[in-house]
Amino acid sequence: MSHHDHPSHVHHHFENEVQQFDSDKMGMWLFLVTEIMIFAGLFCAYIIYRTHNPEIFHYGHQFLDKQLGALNTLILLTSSLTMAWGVRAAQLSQKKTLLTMLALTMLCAFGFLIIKYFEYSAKIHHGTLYGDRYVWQTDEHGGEHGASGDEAHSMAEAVADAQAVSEDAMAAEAAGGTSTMNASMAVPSSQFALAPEGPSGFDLNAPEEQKEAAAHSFPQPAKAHLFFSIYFIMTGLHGIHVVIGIICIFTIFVFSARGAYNSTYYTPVDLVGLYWHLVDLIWIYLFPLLYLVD
Amino acid sequence: MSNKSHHHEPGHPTVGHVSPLPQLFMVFGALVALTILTVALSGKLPGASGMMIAMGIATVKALLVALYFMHLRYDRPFNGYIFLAGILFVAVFFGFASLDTATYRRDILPYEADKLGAAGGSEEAMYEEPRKAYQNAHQGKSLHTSEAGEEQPAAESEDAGAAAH
Repeated sequence: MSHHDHPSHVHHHFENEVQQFDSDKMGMWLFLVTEIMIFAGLFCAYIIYRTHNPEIFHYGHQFLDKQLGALNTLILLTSSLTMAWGVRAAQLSQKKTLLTMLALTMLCAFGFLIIKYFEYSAKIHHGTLYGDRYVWQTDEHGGEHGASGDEAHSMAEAVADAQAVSEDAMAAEAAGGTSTMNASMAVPSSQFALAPEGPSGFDLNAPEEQKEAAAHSFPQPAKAHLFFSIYFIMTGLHGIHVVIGIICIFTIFVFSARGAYNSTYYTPVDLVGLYWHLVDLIWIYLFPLLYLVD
Repeated sequence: MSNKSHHHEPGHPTVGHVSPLPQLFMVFGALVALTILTVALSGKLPGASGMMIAMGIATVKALLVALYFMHLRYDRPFNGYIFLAGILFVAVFFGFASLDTATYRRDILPYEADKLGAAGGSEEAMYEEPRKAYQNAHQGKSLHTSEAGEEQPAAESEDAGAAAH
């Protein structure tokens, strides 16, 4: 191929733009597979802990807000649509549409993170964060959630209640007593606020006091923090990917505004699009696994 | 394959596949419908079938995203092979990691088999017994530590004592 046939956006080590495009895309797919491998480790942890401790997952998922999870799924799906539309706009040199679609994608991504923020802060507040499980042991040292006098009092009451309830059931302790319980588990389940979609069997239209009572009667399995650790790490790594996605989309947004992409050269838009769709694809599995445990 | 097509319409790319807008909207509509379906079905199916159906729906959604939004259907087949090879090795990984899970079944069977029968086949009732056992264990421990502290590691009794006072 003679030199004047070589467009400026094609690097000299490529035969032509088709070869360059195919190489770029293949490299991106290889990278996406490594991303899948990263998440596979976490999915594997999920599978193993769930097969060993099904009751923990059954218990833990009921404190996740199914409606917020579904809303976040819809937001991510919408962002995937706008991203795919943006790639199409770049391919057709529709600069205005491209900028609009990239902006909408970022908007959805921020919406996703904001909802995630509310979910996280509620969960951290309720002490389901892994590290927070141990605050009960270090209360006297003035942890952030350190027990005030009232809280300590209610803890004492809870323990007294528990003693009363368990007296005629002490025989069962022999079975459960060998499990890896520790004192940090001594958080009564009433410490958790329930998601609007309550544990199965709850009457959602029941008066508040009744719901409270039902929540109190819902026992917490040992090692319940396992579920919340897996929840935080899996959704946290996914959230980091959302943040990286926003940075990438913002970068191509700036370049698009300068007119860097058109039908002859749009590879970065395409590759960022692939990345963003992978983020969506992983959430497609995270949502039913964490929020819809049956 | 559009990669190889050499028609140079003005404003049309020389490489890659341009998705028609109606197709993008249809895929999006299907994804939203499947999401609503999976939420509607959750908690309504017995036993393990619920999770299997939820995973099936998720896989259909993932395929839609990969084939249409990620253009795999119109892409070089090699990219699809890379993707499938990745999935294959993930399956090998999960498979080998799960090999010994049955070893621990005996800890789970007591309430998955016995309790299911004893509880008249209701899943809710099936989990009732292990819940009670766990709760009793936890309460029993609090009782011990606050009264005598016998058979308890020092750190634990200290903590339970602090909580109770």
